[in-house]
Amino acid sequence: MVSCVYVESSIKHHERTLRILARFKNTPVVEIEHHGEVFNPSAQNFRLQKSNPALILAHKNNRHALPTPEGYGLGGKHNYYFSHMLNCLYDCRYCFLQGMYNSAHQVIFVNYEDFDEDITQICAQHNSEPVWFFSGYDCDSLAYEPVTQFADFFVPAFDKIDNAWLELRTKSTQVRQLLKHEPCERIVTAFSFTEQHSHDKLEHGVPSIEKRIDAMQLLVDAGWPIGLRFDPIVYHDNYQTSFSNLLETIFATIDANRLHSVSLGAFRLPKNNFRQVNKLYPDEPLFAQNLALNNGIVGYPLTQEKEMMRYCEQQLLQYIPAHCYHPCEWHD
Amino acid sequence: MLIWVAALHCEAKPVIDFFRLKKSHDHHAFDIYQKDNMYCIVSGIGKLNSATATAWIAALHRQSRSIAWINIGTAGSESYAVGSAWSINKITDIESGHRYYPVPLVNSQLPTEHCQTHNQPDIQYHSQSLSDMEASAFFGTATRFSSAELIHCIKVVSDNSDTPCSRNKSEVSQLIQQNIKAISEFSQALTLLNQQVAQMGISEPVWQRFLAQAHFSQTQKTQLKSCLRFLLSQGDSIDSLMASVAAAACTNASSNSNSQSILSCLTQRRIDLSRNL
Repeated sequence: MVSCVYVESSIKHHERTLRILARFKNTPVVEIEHHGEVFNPSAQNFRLQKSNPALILAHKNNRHALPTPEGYGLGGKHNYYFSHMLNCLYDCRYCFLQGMYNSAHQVIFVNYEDFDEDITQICAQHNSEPVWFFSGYDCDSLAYEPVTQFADFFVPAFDKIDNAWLELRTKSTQVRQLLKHEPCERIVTAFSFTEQHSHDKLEHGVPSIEKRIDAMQLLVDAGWPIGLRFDPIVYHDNYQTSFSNLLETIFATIDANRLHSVSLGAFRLPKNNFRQVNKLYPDEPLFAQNLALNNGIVGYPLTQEKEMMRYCEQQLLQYIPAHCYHPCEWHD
Repeated sequence: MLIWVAALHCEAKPVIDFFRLKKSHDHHAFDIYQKDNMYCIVSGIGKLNSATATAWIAALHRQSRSIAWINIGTAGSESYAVGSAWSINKITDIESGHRYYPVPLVNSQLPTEHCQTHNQPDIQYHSQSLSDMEASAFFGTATRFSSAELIHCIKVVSDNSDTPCSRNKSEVSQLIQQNIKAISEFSQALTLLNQQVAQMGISEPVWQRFLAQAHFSQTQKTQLKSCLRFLLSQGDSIDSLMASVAAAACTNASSNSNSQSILSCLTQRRIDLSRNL
């Protein structure tokens, strides 16, 4: 439930704002000048807010699409990310978004047309070379689709740019809007999974594994390319069996030959994010595990991480062709 | 801990009476009423008084794990009925232009509204908001000591364009008194929220007991606090942890090694407990 909707004055009459507000008729609306007034102050408790966040409707003024951090991507040469939202509907304890912002409120930037303009310009700069755009960096791409209608706008927008590739990354089952459109081979919906035990313990509010597999299959049946993201792999005594079971469950339904890409990565967080989330959730066992600092990243000790990656990789490659496998390797 | 801040005694009285708070004779800068973990301070009218009282009582309770705050008082309005009560979701300081946004986290029966804070009584009523003389200073000061989710303002309309401001103290008390049920429910919900925050911390006496076991560097103190917060959240008792710490401290003669041994012991326990999430 949304506790309050904040609306920036400059977009209070925007068509998308009015449509979203119509969904929250009984929710108090507060007019603001800039989303930073509500979102940025330091005297906020992310954990308290997360249980009942507000919605902020805002205008993104510039830097609509940015180059991805080093190592982020699927092997493409030109990689960018863009965020129509800040913060995620779900509450996954391993996610870096928990330590990212002072506030847990959901920000939606309603000026999609400006994002589209920047994306078109960036693609033009790279001539006809493929350019990848990742939309699930600061939020889940599809989880809030009924409110944002993000895919409904951006699928046609990407379809018309011949060298633009889009990754929609999600843990949701919100594929209904996608299914209304003709499939586009350059738009990949990538579903993130952790095995059952980690899902139960760490992914609060995320749909069940089975429901997400069903959503994937709907896309496959309609001819959409899909991806799998096993990131993060989290250690526990039974993680190997549990990961193998997850693969068995997924590939009992999904034809591996229909996969665009599969990535794999062990749990890791930048040092500052780790410090922040550990402060927010001092009672969280994930952050109490045997972790080490390596090149500014907190993760499992190197030998343990290698062993985890090797095991999961071996299991995965029993199902998928090697060419679509992309390990997330962040060590030197 | 919940602290009420009211400008006038007649605004505080319904809260004092409802919660049966008793006047404290320990302090003289401001009138303070107290019972158990609840305080009410009477600040005097205006921003400076409100900010001073808020900061002063926060300093008195600086060792408290978490403080929740409610500014209770009256406000003017162009059209809202005299006696209607509001939870404030936006505060604008008219003189400085600063805006504050109390976080609407507490489920309450009170409707929400914008409040403008003025240096002088405002008789030019504004249709879009209430008018008062303390909220901005109270909120801006309280956020130095607590997170915004724990800081709220409740305003009861005392005057509007049809009804001038009453100078009768008992009438002012009556306006707040008639909303005391909704106000007390609001405070209960806020107290529950505050308890969530307080539970995440370690009380000062417990923390001092652990610190007394060895000499810890600043970095080690951070590590120690992190270990203790996790282990206590997992059900370890303070006494059992103290016993482990004392045993670890005995294994080394020098003070520096003591701190290392204690941290190693607690860290290992933490890792063991977290293996299976």
